[in-house]
Formats: sequence, C-alpha cells, structure tokens
Amino acid sequence: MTNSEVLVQQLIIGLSNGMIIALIALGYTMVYGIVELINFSHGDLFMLGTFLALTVVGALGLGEPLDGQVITWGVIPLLIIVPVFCAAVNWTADRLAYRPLRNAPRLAPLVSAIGVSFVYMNIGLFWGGLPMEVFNMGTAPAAPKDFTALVSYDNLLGDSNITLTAKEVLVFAVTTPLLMALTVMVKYTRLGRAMRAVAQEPTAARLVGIHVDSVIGVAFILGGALAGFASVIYALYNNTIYFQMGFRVGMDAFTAAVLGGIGSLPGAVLGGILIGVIRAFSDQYIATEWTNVVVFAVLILALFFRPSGLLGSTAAEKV
Amino acid sequence: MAGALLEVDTIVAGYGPVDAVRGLSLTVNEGEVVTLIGANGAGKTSTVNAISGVLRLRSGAIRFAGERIDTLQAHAIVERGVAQVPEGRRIFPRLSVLENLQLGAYLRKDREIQKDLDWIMELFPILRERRPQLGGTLSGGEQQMLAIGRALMCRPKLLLMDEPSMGIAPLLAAKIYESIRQLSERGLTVLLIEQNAHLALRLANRGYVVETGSVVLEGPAATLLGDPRVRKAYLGED
Repeated sequence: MTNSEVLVQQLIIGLSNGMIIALIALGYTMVYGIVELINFSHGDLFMLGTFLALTVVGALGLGEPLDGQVITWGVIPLLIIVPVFCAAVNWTADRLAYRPLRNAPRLAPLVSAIGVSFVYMNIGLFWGGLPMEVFNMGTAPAAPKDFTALVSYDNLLGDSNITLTAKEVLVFAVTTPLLMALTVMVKYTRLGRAMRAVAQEPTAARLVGIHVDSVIGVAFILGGALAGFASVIYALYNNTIYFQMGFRVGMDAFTAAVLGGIGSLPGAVLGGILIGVIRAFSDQYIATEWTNVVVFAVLILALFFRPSGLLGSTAAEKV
Repeated sequence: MAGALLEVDTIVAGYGPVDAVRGLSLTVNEGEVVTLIGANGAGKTSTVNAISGVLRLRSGAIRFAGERIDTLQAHAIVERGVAQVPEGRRIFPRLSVLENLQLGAYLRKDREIQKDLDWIMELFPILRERRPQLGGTLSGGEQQMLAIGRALMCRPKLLLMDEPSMGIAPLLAAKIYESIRQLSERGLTVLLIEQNAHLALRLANRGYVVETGSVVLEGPAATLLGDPRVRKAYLGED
C-alpha cells in the first residue's frame, strides 16, 4: 500500500465511524439545546439499541450472507424496529425521570441522567444473559457478543489496495438521508421552528401557544431514533457489541457535540466526523493507545481558542 | 357583568414563599383599553403572567369570556384569544423577523396568515425592511414592535402588554403608543401594564393603581390623571 492509499483508507474508516458518532452526538446536542440537560444516558441507550438489534437478528433467524450478497431484507427490519424502540425509551425516560425535574436546579436532572445510564447498563448486562443463541445461551453476560455479519466484507473496488465494502456504503446510505431530513425538518417545518423557539426563549414559546413539554418530548424522540439508527449501523459495521460500550461511544459522541458547539446541529455532525477521522489517523500514524489522548488534546485545544465550540453561537445577543 | 371580557377575581399568586399578587381584582370590558399602573415590584407582571397561565394561582379565579381559564395551560389560553407582549420583549434572538412573526400564528390553521403578516408590516414598516434579519440584531424599539407584531399574529381578542415603553427612546415609545391607539380603534381589547403612568393614562379608558400586590385605586383614566395621590406618587408632582 502506498502512503496515499493508506491515507484514503483511513479517511474511509474515519468518515464511516465519524458519521455514526455524529448521529449519536445529535441526540446529545438536541436535548442540550432545548432543555440544557447533558443526557448522560444517551450512550447507553445506543448500547441497548445494539442489543435489541442482535435480539431481532436472532429472533428472525437472519444468518450470514450467501456469496457475499448483502441481505438487505435483514437490515430493513432492524432499521425500523430499533429506532422506534430507542425513541420510545428516550421519550419515556424524559417523561418519568427528567420532566418532573424541569424546574429543579440543573444538577438534579443531570444526576438522574447518570442514574438512568446505570439502569440501562444493567439492563444490557441482564439482556446479554438471556438464553438465546446469539448471546451464547447467556453463559457470559458481560462478555462481548459477536454481531452477525449481515453485510458483506467483500471489497467493492475489486483488486484495489483500498477496501470499500458494502458496510461503508450502508453507513453513508443510512446517515446522509437522515442528516438531510433532520436539517429540512428543523429549518423549514412548523415543528422545527417550534423546537428552535423553545430552545431560544421558552417563556415566549409558551406565550405564542407552543406546548413546550410536547416539543421537548419530540426532541427526545428524534434524538432516540437517531441513536437507534446509529446502533444498527454501528453493530453491522463493527460486528462486536458489549454492555459497557455505551460509555466509550457516548463519550466520543459527547466530545463531538462539545467540539462542534453544543446545541448546534451542524456542529454535532462536524464534530462527529472530525472525531472519527482524528481517531482513524491517530490509530494509523501515532498509536492506538495514544488515540484517546489525541482526541481529548484536540478538544482542549479547540475549546481554548473557541470556548463555545467550532460552530457554537458566540455572538452576543441583545436582550 | 355585561360586556366583561376578562375578570380577575381576588387572585393570589407569586414565586417561592412570597406572594407577589395578594387578592387583586380587575375587569376588562370588550373594546376597552385598561391600564394597570404601579411601581416596580407592585405585582403587575405577576398579574399578566397569571392571566397567561405562565404563573399558577394560589387562590382566586380568572375568567375569560365567561370561562375559567386559570386552570388551563398557557397554550390553551392563547388558543382562546389571549396574547401577551412580555416584559423585556422576549423575541426569539436567532430566528429571523419573519420567523418570529410566523411563530405568533403557531396555533392558526386558517388561510389568512399572509394577509395578517402584510397588515403587521404596514403597521410597522421597519419589520418589512428587517424581514430576513435575526431578531437578536434589532434595536430595542424594533424588538418591541416585533414582539407586538408576534402577539397580534395569533389574532387575539385580548392583548396583554407588559411595559411596552420600557427601555425605549421616547420618540419610539410615542410611536408604539400610537400603534396601540390604532389597534384599539380597530376594536382590540387591551390590558396595558405600565410604570410610565402619564403615557398609559392618556391612552387608556380606565385604570387601576397597584401597590404591593393589590389594587389601591381605580377609575376612569381621566379621573386618575387628575387624582392628587396619583399625581404625587406616579407622575412625579408635588
């Protein structure tokens, strides 16, 4: 492999992981933008999504692909069931744990979110112990699980040194339309306008007749659904899941949201992609064990020069 | 009471352990401009927030067009035709002027929204000019016009205005008061909260003077303007 081929290869890997991180980061940033809560359970919600995905794979008996063909009909039910599940769980957590604390000091819902995170993690541990074939009959609940390879590893570029598989194509085919749909929704629809209004000036939003609690609920539903999509493509892309993965992936996504400017949707996407690419480059050119150091060093440097993140709003506002 | 659009009946409300409003009552009849004057901290803003459903009552009742509204949520009160121009304007800073106005019509589904937008931009031509600009970049007076325009976009039957002259150059304040007069002539009912008693009483039909959460004086605006207690306390005369 030539140097430039290595570079392109790492770029492909970095962008793929970055798009997945971006989807999760959007869930952090959307909720923060609207209720100023850092939803620490979001990464673990993503983890639960991967466990549901594997359960569905087991229940529907979806197996390995034949002759390197993508079993699209196996991916489609996952892309419907898992986002719906994650959206419902996220909405329920808001309804039961965060909404009653809306007027409490900000630390209270934050601690609740950490609590919810532990609840999810332990549900994941329990889930991995279920006596199903995909979970090795539940013999080692905490051990990483192999996620059935529904998507082919074959190189679409034939004999090229650069590998581009259907997995990468799947990542982009799922994330790109989602990001476009979210942008259009937030920018041009009545609901999107209401979401921005609640985020910027909640009292005025109530005074023009916006049902603020419902709009906040929608933010949790959208963020949850995006995490659900991320669960499916992450599992299909990386093929390993375990009950504590929500912490690490969630930390990457949260970092991405802060790097891009928390509260900013384009910022979350940019942050996600940057973190993905920096990770890949650091793994390749520095060393895997230094990658976390590199990621957080970049974050600290970026915040030093732009404290509200790369795309965060810095403009002073007249009140 | 015949013609009473809004009845506020001995309400008690407040934040934390302190009652900002203590047994306040007032009525606004259809087509009137009624003003609530009083010093800072007298409970005026708490009163309008209670009417809008943003602040819950501890006791008392609020009726709009004969119906109890104090148990309703804020959005349901807007739906019934009560709009508020809040203290400090509270426009959406990172939404355009046009989007701010469109949000005023959030609950409307009729086809005349565009017509009302045109009408508001005729009332405040500067808003037409500033249409694509972000709300936060407007001057204080322009923001006030935007806040009024946004409230009008829901086609209210009753407009609550909380200190529309606060922090605004006198010339612009006069302009805003002129627009309130025009709106009143079109038949809009207005409850106007003011610290600037002079401006408010010259425009209003009737007035209430509020001190420490309850009404201490009420009557036709002209009478209040001539009342020595009002002249002394609120118009700065000896």
